[in-house]
Amino acid sequence: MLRRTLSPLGKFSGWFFSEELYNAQKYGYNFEVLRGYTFESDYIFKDYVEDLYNLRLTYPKTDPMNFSAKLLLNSL
Amino acid sequence: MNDAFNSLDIINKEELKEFEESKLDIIDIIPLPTSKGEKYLITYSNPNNIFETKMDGNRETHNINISIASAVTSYARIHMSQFKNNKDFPNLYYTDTDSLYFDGPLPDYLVDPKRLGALKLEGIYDKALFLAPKVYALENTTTEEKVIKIKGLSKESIIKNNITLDSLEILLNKDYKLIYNQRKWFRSLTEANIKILEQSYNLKVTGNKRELIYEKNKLIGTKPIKINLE
Repeated sequence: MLRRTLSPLGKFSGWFFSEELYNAQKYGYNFEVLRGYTFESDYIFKDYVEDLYNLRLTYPKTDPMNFSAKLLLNSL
Repeated sequence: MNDAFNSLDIINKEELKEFEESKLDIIDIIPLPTSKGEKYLITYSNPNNIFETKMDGNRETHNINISIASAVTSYARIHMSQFKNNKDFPNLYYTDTDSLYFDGPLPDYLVDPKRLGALKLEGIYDKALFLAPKVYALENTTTEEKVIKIKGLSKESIIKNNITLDSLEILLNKDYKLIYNQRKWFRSLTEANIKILEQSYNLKVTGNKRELIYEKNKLIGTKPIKINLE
């Protein structure tokens, strides 16, 4: 069993994120849904990322606050 | 999810007995001689994890959510997909997760070093060689800026072995490989020393992600792997 991320052609089955399937459709892929889970959808990271990124921009690279904001973004 | 992570602990003799009598799988025991008697570095796993850790209704908390993690990486792939096989953009030669190497400039609206989600121009090179995932060489013959990245081979080893873009180019020939030597440090807790060992590193083009295309025994490109599960 090959265990790595592939972007293959042909016919295959697996578990996918619906948004990625809709995107693949644009490039000519067809799919049949066999089963799935539904999840609630929301922008759960948007406020956090925007606030901290804007905060980071207010400090020069040499300021420790810049690095702290960067770490908080990278650790999300 | 199968939480297959091993646990690691430093324990004393009595605790070792408890471990040995428990249902835990002991993977490794390394004795650690200390001034206050023998201690042990134990690597173990809980065989019940495989059954206890399920997508929902599990008793353990990992503070991770696979659906969110999957969605994040999936959105990243969706974003990157616009740059692949796109006639509106220059030709794409190599890409890995968040980087792209084209033979020309992208439209300005996509490039901004400060804007979140935009691309940042990292460099311009007139010679480039892409041999495998995370194996490439770049060269700007005017400024003489050189970049060589070979996964698993340290910067020092790249310099010591005199690896250059030109020396890597023979790997484009079918079945060619290069063997380098690399010094690696190995730490032994039982022997309380560090050994520096010479290791050989085999480098060749790899195509387990995409199929390699050869023309007259020379690598000229790649194409997607075709799967047919009927």
